[in-house]
Amino acid sequence: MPMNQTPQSKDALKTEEYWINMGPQHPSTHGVLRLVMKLDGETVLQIVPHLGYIHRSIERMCEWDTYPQLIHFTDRMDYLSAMMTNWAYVQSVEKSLGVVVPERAEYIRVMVAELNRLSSHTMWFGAYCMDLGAATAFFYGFREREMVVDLFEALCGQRLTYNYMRIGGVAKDLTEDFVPRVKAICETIKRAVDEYKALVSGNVIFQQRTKGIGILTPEAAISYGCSGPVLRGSGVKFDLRKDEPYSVYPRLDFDVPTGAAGDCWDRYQVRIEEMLQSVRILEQCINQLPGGAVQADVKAVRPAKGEYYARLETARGDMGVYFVSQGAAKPYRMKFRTACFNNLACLPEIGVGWKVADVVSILGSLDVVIPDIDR
Amino acid sequence: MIDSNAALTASDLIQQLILRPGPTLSQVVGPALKAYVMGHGGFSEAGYHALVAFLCANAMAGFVTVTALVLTLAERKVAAFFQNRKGPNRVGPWGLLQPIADVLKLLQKEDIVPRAADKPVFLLAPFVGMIATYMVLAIIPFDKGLAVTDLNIGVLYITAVSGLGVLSILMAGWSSANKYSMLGGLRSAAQIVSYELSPALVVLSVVLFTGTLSVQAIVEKQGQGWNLWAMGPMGVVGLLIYLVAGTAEINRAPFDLPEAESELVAGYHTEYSGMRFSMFQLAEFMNMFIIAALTATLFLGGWQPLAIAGHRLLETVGPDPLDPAKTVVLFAIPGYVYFFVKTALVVFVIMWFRWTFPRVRVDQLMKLEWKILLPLSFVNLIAVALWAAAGFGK
Amino acid sequence: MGPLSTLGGIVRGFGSLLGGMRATLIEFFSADVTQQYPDERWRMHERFRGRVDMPLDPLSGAHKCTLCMMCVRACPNGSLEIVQGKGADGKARVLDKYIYKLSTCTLCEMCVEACNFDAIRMGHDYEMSVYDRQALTLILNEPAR
Repeated sequence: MPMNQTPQSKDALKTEEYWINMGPQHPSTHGVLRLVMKLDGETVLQIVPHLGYIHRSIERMCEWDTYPQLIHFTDRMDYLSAMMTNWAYVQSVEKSLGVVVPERAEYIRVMVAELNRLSSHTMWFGAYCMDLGAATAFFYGFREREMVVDLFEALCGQRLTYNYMRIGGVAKDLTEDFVPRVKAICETIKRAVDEYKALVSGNVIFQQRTKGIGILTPEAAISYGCSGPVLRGSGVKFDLRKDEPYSVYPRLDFDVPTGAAGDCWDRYQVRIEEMLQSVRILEQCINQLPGGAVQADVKAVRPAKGEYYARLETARGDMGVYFVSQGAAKPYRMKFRTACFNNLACLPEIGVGWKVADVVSILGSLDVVIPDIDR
Repeated sequence: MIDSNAALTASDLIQQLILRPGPTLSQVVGPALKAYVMGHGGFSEAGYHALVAFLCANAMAGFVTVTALVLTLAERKVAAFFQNRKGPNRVGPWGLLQPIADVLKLLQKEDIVPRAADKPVFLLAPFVGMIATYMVLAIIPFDKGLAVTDLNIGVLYITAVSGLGVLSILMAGWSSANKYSMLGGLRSAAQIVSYELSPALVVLSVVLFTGTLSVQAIVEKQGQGWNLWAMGPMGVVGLLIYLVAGTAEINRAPFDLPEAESELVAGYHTEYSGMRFSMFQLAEFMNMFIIAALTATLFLGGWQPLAIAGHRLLETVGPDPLDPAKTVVLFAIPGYVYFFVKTALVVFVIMWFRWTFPRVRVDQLMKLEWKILLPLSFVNLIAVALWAAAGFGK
Repeated sequence: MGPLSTLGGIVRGFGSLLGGMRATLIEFFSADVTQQYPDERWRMHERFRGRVDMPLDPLSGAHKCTLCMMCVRACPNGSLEIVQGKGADGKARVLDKYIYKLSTCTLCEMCVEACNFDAIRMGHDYEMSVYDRQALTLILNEPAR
C-alpha cells in the first residue's frame, strides 16, 4: 500500500513492506504455530514459521520408560492419527525383536488404521472448510467423525489417545458390535462424500479459493521430503501401503489417488478420494477377518544392541520411528520422523506470492498437526 | 361512519358489526391527539405534525432495534439448525430471553478507548452507523399508511442515505490507531462503495418499470402482480442481483472479509468493547433487516397479498354487509403480516447464505461486482426498459 | 472467452451455489444431535477409560490388592504409590494407602493391565475437575469417594 509519494519523482511511489505475526494463538493455524510474514500490501513476500510452542520433549521422555510403557506417548504426537502412530512405533520394536504378529491382530490393526484415517480426514475437511469460512461444513465433518470416534471408545476406551497397539498385537479383541458398526460407517461415508461434493467441492466460491493456489511442483515436494496427500497431490504416486507394503496390505485391493497440478484443490480431492479408498479397504477386511489371538506372546522386550527403523503411512504421510538400543529395557535414543515437519517445510516456498487469505487456505490444505512437528 | 375507500380489516369489521357502530381506533386517536395537543398544549398545526413525526420515528426506531435484538437470537437458532444442533435454549423457552442476557452482559463490560485513538471520531463512529441505518427506515412501508413518512423521491433518498454507512466504517477504522483496523476498514469501505452500484441500477430498473420514485407507490402498483413476475425474467434476475449485492453491502458472509480478516488483519471494530461494539453488531442486524425489507418492498410486493397478473389471492371481496350496493374487501390478512412474513423469508435466505458458503477473497469480491454484477445490472436495466416500452407493465 | 461462455460460467457457478444451499436446507430439517449435558448424560461404554478406581466391598471395605507393586512399576510416569501398613499380627503385608495422583495420570491403562488380581479397574468417572489441586491426589482404598 503506498505510504507516501515523494515530490521529486512523481512517478515513483514509495511503498513499505511490513512484518506481521500470525499466531501462535490463532483460529486457523491448527495448533500453536507462529508464522511471521513479510507483506507488501496484501501479497506475501516471505514466510518464516516458528516452531516449538508445544515441544514437550517426548523423545527425551521416551528414554526413561520401557518399551511397552512408552506407547502412550506416541498417541500425543499426531493425535489425529494416533492409532497409526502407535502402530509405527510397535512395528519398529517388533522388527527389532523379530516378533510375528497373529493374523487377526494384523487385520484389526489395518481396520483401526483405516478408520483412523477416515476420522482424521473428516476432521481435516471440517477444519479446512471452517478456515475458508463455511462454518457449517465443520459440523458435518464432525458428525461423521463422531461415528468412528465413538466406535473407538467402545473398542479401547478412549476417543483420541487410544494406546491400543501393543508389542505383538493389539490390546483388546473386537467388541460384538464392531463389525456391524464398521459397515454402517462405510455406508455413511459414501453418502457423506456426496454431500461434501454438493456443499463444498461443487461450490464455485470454494473452487476459486483452492484451484491454482499454492502450487507445489513434484520436484519441490520430493526435495522437501513431503509425503502423504501433499506429495500425492503434486502427482507423485507414492504410498507406503503400496510401495513398501507392511502388514496385510498386499492382500487388499485399493487405489492410490493422485492429483495433477499440486494445488490446494488437488490435495483436497486426494484426501476425499482416500476416504473412499479406506472404505474399500475396510469392506475387504471385514470379509477377510480371521479368528485367533490378538496378541503374540512376547516375554521380555529387550531388543538387541543396534539401530532399528520402521515406517508406515499415517493420514498425514510417512511416519518413521528410529531407535537405538543398548540391549536394555529402555531405549537409548528414540527418534520420530514425522510427516508434518517436512510437509510444513514447503510452506515458505509455496506460500510466497499469494494473498494473505490464500496462506490460510494453503496451510489448511497441508493438513499440519503442530504437536506432530514439535513433539 | 365507514370509509369505504379503505380496506377494512377483520378487526375493524368486527368492531363495526358487533361492538358498536362508530369510528375505528385509528380514526379516533389522531383527531383526539390533535385536539389535546393543540388545545391544551398550545402547539400549532406544524408543531402537531412535528410531534407526530417525532413519535412515529421513535416508534419505528425502537421497534426495529428490538427486531434486531430478536434477529441476533434468530441467527443463532438458524445457524444451529443448519448445523444439526439446538441453539440457545436455556435462557427462557427456546432461548427467547437470550438477547436480554447478551445485552446485560455487554452493558457491564469495560469501555476501553485506546490512548492513541482520535477520541471524538472514535466515540462517534458507531452512532453514525446507526443514524444511517435509521434514516433508511423512515420510508419503508409496513402497511398502507403505516410508514413514518412517504417521500415522493423515496428511492433516491434510500440510495443516497445508505451510502452514509461507509462513513461510520471509515471513522472506526481510522480512529482506532491500529494499522490493521485501518486496513480492514479501508477494505470494507471499498467493498461497500463498490456494491452500492448494482443495487442502485436494479432499483432504477424497478423505478423505470413502475414509473415513480415513491416507495409507497411502487408497493401499491404491485397490488396487481408482484414485480418478481410482472417484470418478467428481469424481475428474478433483479431480485438475485439485489440480494447478492445487498449481502455484500452489509458485510455478511460470504462477503464478510472485514470480520473474517480478524483471523489475521483485524477488522474495523476491533478496538471497540462493550456497548459500543454492540452498536456495530446491532447496526449490522438492522441493515440485514433493511435489505430484506427493501427486497420485499421492491420485488415481493411489500404489504400486498399474493398477486399474480391481476388476481389477488387470499382476499375476499363482496358486498358491504351494511350497504349492499357497495363492494368492499370483506376479509384480508393485514398488510403488515404479509410484510413481516416476506421480510422474514428474505432474512432467512440471507442467513442461509452465511451458513452455507465459504468466504470470497477480496480480489474475487471486486471482480464479482465490477465484472459480473454491474454488467448484468446494465443489461437488466435495458431489458426492463424494452419490456416496459413493449407495454407489459401497464 | 466470449460473452456467451462467460454467461454460461456464471449460470453454472450460480447453479453450484444452489446445490450447496439445498444440502444445508436438507440438514436444516434433520434432527439435531445435541446432548443436553448435564441434564442428559451418557452411560459410558464398558471399556471406557475414566480415572482409576479400586472396587471396594460396600460393607467391609475389602479390596483385592496384594501389594505386588506391579501397577506401580507399570505406570509410565509414577502416578501410583502404595504405602504398606502393618497387619494385625504385625507381619502381614497390608495396604495402608493406595495413593493415586490424578494430576499426572494419562489414563493409559497400563496399571490395570499389569494387575493380576483385578484389584483396580478403569472407572467411568470423567468429570474430574476440582478447585483445589490437593483434591487430585486420591487415596483409592478409602471408601470416602
